[in-house]
Amino acid sequence: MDVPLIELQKVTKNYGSHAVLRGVDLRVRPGSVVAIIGPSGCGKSTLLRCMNFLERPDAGQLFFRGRVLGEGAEILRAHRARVGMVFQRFHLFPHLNVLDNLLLAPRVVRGEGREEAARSAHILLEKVGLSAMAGAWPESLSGGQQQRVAIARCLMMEPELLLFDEPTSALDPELVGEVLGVIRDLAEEGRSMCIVTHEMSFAREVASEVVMLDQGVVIEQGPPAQVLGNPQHARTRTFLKRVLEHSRE
Amino acid sequence: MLSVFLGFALASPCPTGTLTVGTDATFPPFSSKVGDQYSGYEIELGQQVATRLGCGITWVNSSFDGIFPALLSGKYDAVIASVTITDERRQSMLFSVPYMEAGQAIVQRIGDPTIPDIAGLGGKRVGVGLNTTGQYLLEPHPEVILVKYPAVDLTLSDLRAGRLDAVVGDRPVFAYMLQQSFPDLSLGTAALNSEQWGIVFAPERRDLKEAVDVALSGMVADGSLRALEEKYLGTAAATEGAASTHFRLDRLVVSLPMLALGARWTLFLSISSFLCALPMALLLAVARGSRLVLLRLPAAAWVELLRGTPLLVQVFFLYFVLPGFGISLPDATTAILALSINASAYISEILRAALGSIDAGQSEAAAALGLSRFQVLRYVLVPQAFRRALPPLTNEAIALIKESSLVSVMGMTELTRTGQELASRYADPLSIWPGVALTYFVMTLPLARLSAWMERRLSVGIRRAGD
Repeated sequence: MDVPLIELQKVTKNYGSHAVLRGVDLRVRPGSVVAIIGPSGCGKSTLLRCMNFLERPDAGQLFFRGRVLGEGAEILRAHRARVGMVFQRFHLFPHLNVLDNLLLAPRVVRGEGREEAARSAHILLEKVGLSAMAGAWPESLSGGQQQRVAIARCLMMEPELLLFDEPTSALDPELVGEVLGVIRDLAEEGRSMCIVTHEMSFAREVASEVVMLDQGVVIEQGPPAQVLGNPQHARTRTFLKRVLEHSRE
Repeated sequence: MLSVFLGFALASPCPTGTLTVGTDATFPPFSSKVGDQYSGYEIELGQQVATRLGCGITWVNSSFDGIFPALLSGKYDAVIASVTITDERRQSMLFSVPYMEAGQAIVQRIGDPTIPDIAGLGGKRVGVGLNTTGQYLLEPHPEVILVKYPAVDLTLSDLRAGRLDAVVGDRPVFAYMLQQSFPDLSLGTAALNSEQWGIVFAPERRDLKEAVDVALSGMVADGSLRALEEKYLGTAAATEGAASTHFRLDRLVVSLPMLALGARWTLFLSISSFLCALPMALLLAVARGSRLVLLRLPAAAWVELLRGTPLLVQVFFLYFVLPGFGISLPDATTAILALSINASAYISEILRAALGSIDAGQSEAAAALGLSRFQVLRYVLVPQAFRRALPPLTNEAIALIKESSLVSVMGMTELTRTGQELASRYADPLSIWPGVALTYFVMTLPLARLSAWMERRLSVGIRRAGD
């Protein structure tokens, strides 16, 4: 049995008196794709953000490659550089063009030279289908293009784990496909990923494991065919039914 | 014999060979200045006294209301600025023997019923120069409505305009100004009091005072003081041209090179101050947004203190109070320090607002890529904040150009001070001040255009490149 890439043990997080995560256990094995689903407000985004310490858990432990993650700004930064994150609302840097958005982190964090970093950047832009857009400003791109740039930007740091926080929720429906396509390609390369998503058919197709979160706890997890096809828990069934009805409208 | 000689040499009134003397060069015909050239009765008097002492002389121009604090903080050896000898001033400073018999007189519009004495001023609006003996003379008379002015030529303009009923001030100064530019005003014949002018020293300079007394007595004895009076105050005294009661373009044109020199100082002071203020403001803005109370509180206190006190008071503090603690900086440095410290408070609020307006997702995205807190600020937040802050920063830069006029109290001959000097030299505010206003406008206009251009360029760059 291989060591999990990342493992959360009894992670809790409160916002004031409101308990968002109430003791979550989660393991992501190398090369696996974990889809995190659940009703809005169930804590899925918070859970994802705890994995790279954008949110600091109130209690519980986080292991990366079997080693507990320590305290301190240095350790945190090193961890974040190994874990890439793609946001719902892209968050490209509007004062930098597409190429410079990609170059910033390698140059500043790893001290790479511009030439060297630019070579990788062009390869990655090619990969997300935007090699013609290197000189464009984020503002001039469509949402789908911006999200693909954001994915390329995050890949520049060669992360060992990718976190996607509802990567298609802010997109117009006709642009969802191009972003999911890129994520699907990454999954096929064998990259380790955690995806918070409402795209059930995509989760069924790409994920190796689905985790159902409700009211801050994991209520069900397993292969997609099991969790999505034959849910054991009543709340999972209700949730899936509601999502299905919504997508039929 | 040798020891007597040595003793004399040691007691030289000017150990450095030069006396530094403060004057207010807005008092023709006693002291005025065009460019770097001082002239007038008191300038020549000072030169003759210095020569008799075997010293050189360096003039420092200061506005009258700041001249005594500067003397007492050791910036000058002496002050020659039409200073009336009073008991009150004697308590804190030393005076030479008098060199001028002067008294206060009343100025009125020609045609108004004559006011012969102080009693007649009851219930009237009367203009005086700030901290002049005219003010002191009238203050014990609460029935007189006193209006105080930073420069005496302004009292005459207001009298002419009907905002004052009368003006009280030094007879010799007003005699000259009326002859120059106010033919519609008249000087009362009766002297309200008897006054004498003397050279002023700090209390610890008794040696210098005594040497100057000897020199002045010598000038009385050989008639050279009398000759000076005749030259500057006699009937044959030269005037700066015909009296004027209306705007005179020729006078403005003649003044333009002077105004340009003043404008150069104004630009130097405001640009340097702005450049110094920016990094300070950035540090303050970041400190105020910090999680550490130890950074946040001092920064907040700094900003509130500077916003909550007048710039003029801050200038006074740096210029007059610091030397008391043994910290003495060159005037230009003090001016830039005062202006930039003050501006830093306002600019930091602009930057703080701009930083706060940036989506939290920007910091999160940068942090998620592994950037440190400093790198997030340096590469992501600050560049965006500066773009957003450009319009209010331009406002601040324009305000700074205009506020820099406040350092004229330290005798910095920037644009406003140049205007004051020229207006009183020609006793002609009507022709000079429009020129000053125009010069300020010419300086601020390009700034507004530059900012508009930068804004346009930044936003066009963003939109154009992707199409």
